[in-house]
Amino acid sequence: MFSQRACYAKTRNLRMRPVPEMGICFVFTPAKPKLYTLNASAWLVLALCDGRRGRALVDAYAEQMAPHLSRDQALGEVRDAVQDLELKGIIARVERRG
Amino acid sequence: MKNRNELDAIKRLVSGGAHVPPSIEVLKSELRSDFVFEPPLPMPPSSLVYLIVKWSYHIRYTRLDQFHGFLKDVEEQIVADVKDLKLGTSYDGTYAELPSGTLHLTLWSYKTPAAIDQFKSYLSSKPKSALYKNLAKLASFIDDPTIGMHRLVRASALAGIVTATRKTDPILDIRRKRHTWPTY
Repeated sequence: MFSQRACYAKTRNLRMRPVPEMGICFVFTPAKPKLYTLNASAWLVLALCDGRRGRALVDAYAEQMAPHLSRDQALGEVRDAVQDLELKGIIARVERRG
Repeated sequence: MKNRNELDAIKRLVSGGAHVPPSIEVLKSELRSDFVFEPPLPMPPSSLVYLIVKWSYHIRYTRLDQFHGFLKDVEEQIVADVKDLKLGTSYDGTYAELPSGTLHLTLWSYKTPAAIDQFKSYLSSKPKSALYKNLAKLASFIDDPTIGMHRLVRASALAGIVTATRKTDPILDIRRKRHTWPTY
């Protein structure tokens, strides 16, 4: 379940291979060995998972996606993406840094 | 990509073109080897085999005598049983490479591509047949993770396909150039 208060970061030992020319990023999760393809939007969500809170993540995503998306729409997309990324072991909740 | 640069690059990507919601898909792996093609039909002359399959594997030293003894006892039976099926399949023998003798090759040949499927179908439908048991016993000696399966296809069946598949093969190009060198 996505929480705007929780902090999110990439999991340890995550392997990322950006392919900007195709607008995708390959991600390998060694802990649960699987390879994933992230489109640019999911890649942005992942890049924003640098230990910031869910609320800040939504703000940054909404800012980037404006005017295509409202903040509520951005919240919906971030919530789904974060839940999916967390389920797949690509990101995890972390203690607030600093 | 450094974090800042990466973020900037992604932002440029998402800001260009229509908006697409995030998607995270499992990558389905696909095994490929270079320069692989399937031979086309029709088949080459019926008097010739279409495909030879070569197994190459090592037999453990301690089981060599047992393996060779097994083949001595049943190999003729395997040959006859496969021939009697009249499926265009042939067991062409198991060979040991000298002098070490642990490397072995087992050769199969098929007159048509369909013969492979027919033979496979026969074996799966007759698990109690002597042929099935003998082949299962033969396979049980192969305790070798490096076992290799090589397919040799009738070259005439590949007529035209190589140039269609790869028109700029570097090796063939070198050869072509060598043949056009002027002679002095």
